[in-house]
Amino acid sequence: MVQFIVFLGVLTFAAASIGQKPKAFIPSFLFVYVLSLILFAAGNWDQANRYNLEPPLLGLVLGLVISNLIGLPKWLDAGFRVEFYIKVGIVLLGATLPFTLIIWAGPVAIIQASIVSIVTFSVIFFVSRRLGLDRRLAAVLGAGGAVCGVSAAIAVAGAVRAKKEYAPIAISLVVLWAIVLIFVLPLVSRAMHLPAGVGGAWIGTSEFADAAGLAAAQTYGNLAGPETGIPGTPDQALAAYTLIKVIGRDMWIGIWSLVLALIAVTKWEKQEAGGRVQVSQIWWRFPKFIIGFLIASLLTTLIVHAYTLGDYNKLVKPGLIAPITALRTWAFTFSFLSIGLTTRVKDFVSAGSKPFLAFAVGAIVSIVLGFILSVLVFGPYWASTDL
Amino acid sequence: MSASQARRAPWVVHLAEEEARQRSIKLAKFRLDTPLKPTNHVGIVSEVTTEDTVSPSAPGWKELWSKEDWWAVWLGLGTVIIAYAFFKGGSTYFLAGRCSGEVVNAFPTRRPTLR
Repeated sequence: MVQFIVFLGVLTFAAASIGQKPKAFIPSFLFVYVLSLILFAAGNWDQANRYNLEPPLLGLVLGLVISNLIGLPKWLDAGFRVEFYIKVGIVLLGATLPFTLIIWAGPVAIIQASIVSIVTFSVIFFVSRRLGLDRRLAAVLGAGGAVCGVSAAIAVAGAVRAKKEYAPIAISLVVLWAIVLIFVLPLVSRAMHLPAGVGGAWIGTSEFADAAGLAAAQTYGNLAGPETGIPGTPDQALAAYTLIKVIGRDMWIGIWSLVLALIAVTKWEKQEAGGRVQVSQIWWRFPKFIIGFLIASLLTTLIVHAYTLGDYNKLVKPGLIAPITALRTWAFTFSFLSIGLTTRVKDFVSAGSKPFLAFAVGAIVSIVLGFILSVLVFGPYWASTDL
Repeated sequence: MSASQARRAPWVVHLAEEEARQRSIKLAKFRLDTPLKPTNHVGIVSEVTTEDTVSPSAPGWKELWSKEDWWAVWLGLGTVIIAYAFFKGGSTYFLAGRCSGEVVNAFPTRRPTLR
């Protein structure tokens, strides 16, 4: 109840300052909150846990079902503030990624993650453009494949001012591939008897969603042992996965958002406007929540810089990072639910098979490149890594 | 100066010129905004109801409390500061998960066994 009152009070005040009538916002937000509560309850269900059906993802599906099969009165739209919730979530995401993690991750993880991030983004972006897709959709798809799929797709969609149906397209592709790879990567790793750390690194390099990758890495780590002939320990698989995916690749959310926001403002909008964009316009149009993301990351960096990695895991993560992550999940759930509630499937279907094709090419490149880097190039390093 | 302008008082001419200048600013801004189709874009969809597309005036300090981007920044950073205050004070409020309904751990301890 306290949580609801705080959410309602703060968000209503913010919405009113932005120009929305509280009378319209409050009942609509109440609807969003009650549905989100149900989603959190469903997300804690064993079967949902098993298939990584997290509240934001369930929210997207529930929202799509309600808006496309049942329909909602127009007056409820006031609380479906997709972008606002996303932007708050992205700033909170920055707080969970202190720069100190880069130092702890070490150069190999950062180099490997950077190579994969840049190559995968470039492949998806250029294939999308060759297929004739809008550059903003190409950017959102590229970020979805190159970084932490869902979060990156949302952040970049906001940064380049993408059409509202672009983020759900990218999210659905990320989720689809993530589910497939939960099973494929551990199975192939097992068939090849890759050491636990190497398998974890490959999963971290090629999986598209944090939760799905975590499940795959844990699954593969649990296979390690003399009876299966897989060298290493479960912790090695998890450590390698965490270094590559949760630290190395997720850091790129901020980088891609910043770079693409600048490109969108200085190049794309300039071309579309058919004239010059003044320097002041660049600042005016720049998505400020990206600045919030970076400041939040800087703040937690300052907070955690005095801690060792062990203390960070033991004290800071449960005491500071986990609660922020939980609030971020609420913000993302509000947002995903709102995306579902405002998206019509016919808009979605009109995108055709081209986004799927472009993403599939990127996924294959990411899987092959991930294997080369994790097994052939840095194999000995990952086989002995621990966190 | 045209013949019709010459017949007017200087202050009337000045007003007319100022009006024309404002119109051209509005037109230039309209051209800049038009291709974005604001209602269709994630980044600004919720801002079209505010002064963004209504007033041609340049944004100023008011933007800090009237734009959702900045509100997202204030709410996000405010949350981090409050969370840090609780953390520094040794509060177990967050740990108990009461503030957020639950604690979502990025590295849960459950280990699925599918072997």
